[in-house]
Amino acid sequence: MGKLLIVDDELDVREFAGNFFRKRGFNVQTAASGKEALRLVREDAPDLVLLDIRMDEMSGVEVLRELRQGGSPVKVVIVSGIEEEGVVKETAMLGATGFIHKPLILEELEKAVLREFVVNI
Amino acid sequence: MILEHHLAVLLFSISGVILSFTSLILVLVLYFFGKSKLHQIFALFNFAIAWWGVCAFFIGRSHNADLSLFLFKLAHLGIIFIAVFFYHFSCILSNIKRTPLILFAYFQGAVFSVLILSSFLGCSIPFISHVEETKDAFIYLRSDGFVYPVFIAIWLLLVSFALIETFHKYRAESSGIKKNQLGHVLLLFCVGFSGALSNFLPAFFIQIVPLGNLTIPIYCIGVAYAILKYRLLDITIAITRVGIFVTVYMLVLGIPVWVGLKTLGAGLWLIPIGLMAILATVGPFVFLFVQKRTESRMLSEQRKYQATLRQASSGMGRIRDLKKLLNLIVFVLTRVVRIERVLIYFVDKDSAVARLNALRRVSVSDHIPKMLPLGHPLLAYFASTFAPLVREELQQRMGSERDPDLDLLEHGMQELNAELVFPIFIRANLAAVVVLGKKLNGRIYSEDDLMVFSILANQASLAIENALSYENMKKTQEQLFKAEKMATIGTMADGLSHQINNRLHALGFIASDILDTVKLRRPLFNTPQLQAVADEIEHSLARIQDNVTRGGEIVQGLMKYTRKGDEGVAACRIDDIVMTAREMAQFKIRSVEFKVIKEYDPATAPKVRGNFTQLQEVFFNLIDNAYDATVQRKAERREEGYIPTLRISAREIDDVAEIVFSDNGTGVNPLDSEKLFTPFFTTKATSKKGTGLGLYIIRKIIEENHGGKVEVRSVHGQGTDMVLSLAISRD
Repeated sequence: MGKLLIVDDELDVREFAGNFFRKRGFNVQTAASGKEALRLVREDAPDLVLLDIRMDEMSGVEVLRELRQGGSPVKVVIVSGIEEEGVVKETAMLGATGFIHKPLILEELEKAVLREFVVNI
Repeated sequence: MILEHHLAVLLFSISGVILSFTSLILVLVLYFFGKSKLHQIFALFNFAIAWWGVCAFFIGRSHNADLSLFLFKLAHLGIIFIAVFFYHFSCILSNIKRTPLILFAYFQGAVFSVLILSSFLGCSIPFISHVEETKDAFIYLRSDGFVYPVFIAIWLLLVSFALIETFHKYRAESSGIKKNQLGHVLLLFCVGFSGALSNFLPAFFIQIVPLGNLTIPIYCIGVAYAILKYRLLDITIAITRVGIFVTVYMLVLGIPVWVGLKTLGAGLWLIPIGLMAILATVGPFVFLFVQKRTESRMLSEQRKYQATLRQASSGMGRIRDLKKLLNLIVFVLTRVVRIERVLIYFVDKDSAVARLNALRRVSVSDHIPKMLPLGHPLLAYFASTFAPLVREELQQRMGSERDPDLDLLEHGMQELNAELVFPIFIRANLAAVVVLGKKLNGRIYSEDDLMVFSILANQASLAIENALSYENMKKTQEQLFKAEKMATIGTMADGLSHQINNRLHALGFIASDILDTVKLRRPLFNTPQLQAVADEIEHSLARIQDNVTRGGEIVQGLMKYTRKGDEGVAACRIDDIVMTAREMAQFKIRSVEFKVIKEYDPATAPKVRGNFTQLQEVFFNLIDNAYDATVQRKAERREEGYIPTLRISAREIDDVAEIVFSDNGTGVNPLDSEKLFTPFFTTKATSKKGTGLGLYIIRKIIEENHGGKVEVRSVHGQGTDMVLSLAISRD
């Protein structure tokens, strides 16, 4: 199964989303910050990153930008709160393949993730 | 003797006439224009002098010792009180309390008067005993005994005290004009009394014709002059009135007396003339008294008007509450005239009607319209006329000219039972009309009434404008305050909603994950009891998920409202907004049957001024609502051939674009129509999700952020028209 990286500064989100996808056989890693996310992408090359936008220190947009600047083609789905319109455009330009709004339930997230993997396959 | 004796006696008589004349003038001036006690006492003082003057005149003309004695006694009734009143006057003038002395003065005056009066009745009291003849004249009074000297001593004392008091007052007075006045009066008193003293000399065997009397008119004229010129004693007078009166009096009485004396000499004819003089003096008083009374009777109506208007103007200026103000106007009107009814219709330009804002009526049975359309003939009439409309006149005009407009007006007045209608203008704009019914006494409205009403209307207009601007100011202040509050909430809401959103998000994941686990491990729940437990857990977790999603929607809805002006205001093409909003709605709209028909021409439809994101949000919500309403209708009624449809049209009215979203959904239940815009109110079936914020936010965005208008027109069961009015942009 695919490798999934969940980036979110909320412990609960990481834990339960992680559990959920592990149960489905995903190889799940989690990152609590932008820096950690960058490192894990470099080291483990996940198939898909679920990226939160509003985080301390480094925002999701910055993480994505840095990834692209580092030449990483990794698929990224943005999981965003109530961010500005600008964020949607910017992340789309940086090649995010999906954009979903919080709060949502895991079934919906699963659909979004599966869609990416289906396309991938 | 320098002067020939009989000439001196004649001069004495004349001085008597002149001094009584001048004193009487003073009395008149004081009587008519004086207000205070000071003026009254001063008038009495001068009257006493005048009394003496009249007697002196007759003494001078007398050729009979008995008559002369009688006249002297009479004269002393005045002389006694000259001192008494003078003393009293000076006490008031100097503002000092000498009550015992004043009482004593009056007391001794009364005693001496009683002595004189009792001598008339035959009692022989050694006070004024006899008159001495000198060359056929009887002008020298002689007195035996001690009473007369005592009387003179008291008299002199009182006068001296009075002069001293006045002098003290003069010394104490610091301010210039008051001091000048007092000095002036003091000097004139001295002049007058010094002359008057000569009258007492004969009683002490010094036989000099008392020509000192001639100084008394100097005093009188001086005081009169000072009153006119320096507003002495604070009396302001109408010079002409008194002047004319005195001139006429002198001409009418003075000339005949003078001619008579020249040709006939003194004689009995003087008695009727004297009587005439007295009557003529009294006459004007009677005349003025009667005039005053009759005038006040005749003018009582006008006085009432004036009083009411005064009261109204002072009252109106103070009232800032429009409703109260109009009520006051009605109240004042009913005070002015007893009237069958008073109605005030206040013009409301926005809704193109005049509303009944205040009324007062006698009978409650008849119907009074609550509202008049601006096109009502009465209101139309005042578009071009400022003058009040009187039904009487209108009917007269109808008799003479054929004009359908007049018939309309008459009909309009009849409808309101109006007899008189007058307008209230604020800066040439009709602000209100005041409708008056019949007078209760059945009379018609007079010119006076109309004049009073027009004054009232002017005052009312000022007061109304005042009240309106105050209300406006209050409103603006409230709006400012609210805006400030909203700004604070706005900045807070951003962080707050993010936090809440994240909590909901995490909560949703936790619930989802357990739910997922329970579902995956379902085989483990292998007994009926365990299965029931699993069912319950699943159900509860599903509810948590549902609540999380709805909570998220509410937070997002609020954010859309508070986050305003992200992109600023620009000219937005209606079609662009519709298209993007439809795209947003596409995610939700599953039914392929739902048709959106654009009834405007995308190329020519007006552009509106606004914030694109916010308007897009509004349009999205309206499309979403229409979709839900049609889906609901379809599900509930299962009508044959029903096609859920939303028609969007746009047209231009003046500088406003009217955009109508017209759906054929369930329509709004009239019971709900009031609550549509209240936050968290939703009619959407519980299975569908509604936050109850849609219309609330639409209204906020359209009315507060864009200065536009949202209207709902709906027929229950047939569909709803949502009408947006937005300013057109010509950019």
